[in-house]
Amino acid sequence: MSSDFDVIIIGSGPAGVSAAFPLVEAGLRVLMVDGGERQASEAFSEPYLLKRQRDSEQTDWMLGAGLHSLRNMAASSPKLRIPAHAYVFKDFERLNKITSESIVSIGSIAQGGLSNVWGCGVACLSASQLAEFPFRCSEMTQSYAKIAERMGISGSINDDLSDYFGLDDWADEPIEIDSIQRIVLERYKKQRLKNVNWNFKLGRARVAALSKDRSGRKACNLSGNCLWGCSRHSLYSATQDLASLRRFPLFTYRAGCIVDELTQSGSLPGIKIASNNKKETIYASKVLVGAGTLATTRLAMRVLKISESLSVQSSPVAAFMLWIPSAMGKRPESAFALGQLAFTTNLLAQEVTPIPSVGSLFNCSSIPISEFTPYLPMNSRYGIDLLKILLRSCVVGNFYLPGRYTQIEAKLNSREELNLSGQFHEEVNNLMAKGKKQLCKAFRTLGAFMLPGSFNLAKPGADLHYGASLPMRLSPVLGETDANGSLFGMQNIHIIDGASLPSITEKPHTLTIMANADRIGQSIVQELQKSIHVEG
Amino acid sequence: MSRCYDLRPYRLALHALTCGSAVSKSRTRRALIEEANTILKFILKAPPSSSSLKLYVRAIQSLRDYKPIGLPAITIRWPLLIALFDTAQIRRLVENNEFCWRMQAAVRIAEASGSHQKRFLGTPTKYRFFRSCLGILLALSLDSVWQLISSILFYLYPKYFSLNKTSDE
Repeated sequence: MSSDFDVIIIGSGPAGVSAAFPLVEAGLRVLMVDGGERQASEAFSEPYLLKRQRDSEQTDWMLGAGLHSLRNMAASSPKLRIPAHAYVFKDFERLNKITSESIVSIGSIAQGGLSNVWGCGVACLSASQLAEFPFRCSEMTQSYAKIAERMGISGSINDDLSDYFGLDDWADEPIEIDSIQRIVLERYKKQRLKNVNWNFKLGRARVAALSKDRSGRKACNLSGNCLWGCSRHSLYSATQDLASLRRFPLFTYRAGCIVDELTQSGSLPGIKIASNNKKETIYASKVLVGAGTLATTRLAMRVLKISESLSVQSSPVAAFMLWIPSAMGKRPESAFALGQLAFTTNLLAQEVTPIPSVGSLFNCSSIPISEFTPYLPMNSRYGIDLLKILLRSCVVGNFYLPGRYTQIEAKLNSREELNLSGQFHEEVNNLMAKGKKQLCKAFRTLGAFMLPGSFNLAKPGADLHYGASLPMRLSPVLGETDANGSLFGMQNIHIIDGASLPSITEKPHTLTIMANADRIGQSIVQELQKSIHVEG
Repeated sequence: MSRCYDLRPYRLALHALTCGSAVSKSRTRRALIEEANTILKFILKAPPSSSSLKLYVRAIQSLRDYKPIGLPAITIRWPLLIALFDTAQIRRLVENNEFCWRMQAAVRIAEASGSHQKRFLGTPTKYRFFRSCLGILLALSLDSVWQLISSILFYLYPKYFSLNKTSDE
């Protein structure tokens, strides 16, 4: 059997595009397939606050023509309620046959996958964290540099988090900080020693958002549209890379293809796709699976016929609100709406080694008041009165623990659906309570007060950082992968997304997924070129 | 002619005076509009726009089960009295889950409306520090007063605080 392509890549998200670049640059024939959902309308260019004041038709983009926002009122994140982002999450569970009990399961079949709505947080894993990977740390460093250079990162500044994020050599200067968070940062600089002694460090967040123009994308202009869609494309999305890939003559992109099954004919792997009501099987020398951890796990479990459950990791996350009284009375400010400041803490629990945790602070001027009223122990009428004044001097924060503290079981049922069930590790409540106490104490010294009742732990899986279901190991067994993401028990099928990470740390892991996919892509180029040379 | 039935040959249908003279004979729809007006007026502190009313009714019709929640008549006359029900204690009652959903939906509808943005954004000018403090204090005080009244009334007459849906027409 011959193949029309050297490599098939499932998924056009950050992992898929990162693996594709080394392949197409080496002149290999690459087919990329995805669900193909696309944004129906262009993001607006007017600053958010101005648009809110002037636009008489704002119901359309705030609630959505089909009342999207109201339909998803129970969803865990405001992103899931933004009508403009409905296409990102549409039909993921149904088409990928994923069901869930008691956990949030989210993915995307859209072009660019979940990168269309991500928080743009980036970090490199430390040498000790990379020690868990079954290859040399230096291999990842090269890929980190390459990916960071391509996607455009800002936040480089010599501060207490430079070593923690580990990517300042490849990042541009930070995006302008808003006046409220500047107060917090300035106070931290004065109180630094006290906080560092408490294991609390604060600095600028490193984000995949532009502070300088870069290859057709414009630098952030503080429009506050981050949550609603950035018309300047300052925020990185894999769709931007997909557009670049489509310029390569040997790159083929097919939208609207949902891969239902992986298959193998001899040593040739293939995919069974359903497109326009037609079923089709396509073979290639290699298949790289980057459909998103949950969809990838199902495809792998099906092809390997794994009937036992596999465990999936996901970082427990809590959200909270800080009030900075000295910012009271400020006028609403248009600002970068993703992480501006980041902080790290180490929590001491039953384990001997401290548990690292990380979080970011966000400007909340572009978040609707209705996102906060359900959490207030007040009535809506006076709650709105309060928030209208108070939010001008508040920032929202999030707080992550390592992914091993969520125990998600993934199991195929008799209908070949992937059923997800799980809960937090029993220690999470204790750790979160400690984290809350530590944050209250640290932020209090910075003149910021956590609002009572505002620290809320999200449901398991709500952070969307799923991974480590098919972990890379030096000596893999069934349900694991080798250093190149090659699925144990199959030939030439590689897992390139979060599923193949050995574990999910507390750090944002998208950059690591992309670097790992790039590394796997490079090693596949070498492997295929070697085999072509031998055949030749 | 003493019965509704007697009017049928003349293609005339009677409906209750409370339904008004609207072409739509739906008592349910009318009750939903009243509910929308009451809840939105409570949230907005002003009469809601017709588009917000329509949107609320559409949301209940398409996302819930079409039925009005059965707000007490006194709240329809004085929407401020919704404050008695919209407290943390009353919202926690299982039978009031639907009321909670509708309050949250109404806040979202009101905020998304192009006519009421000032209620949510305030004025773009600077709020002075003391004015801000006063505003916060006033909101907290008024809420506390209503919470207190609600708690006392709930203690005395708990059955009036269960908002069950009215039957269909």
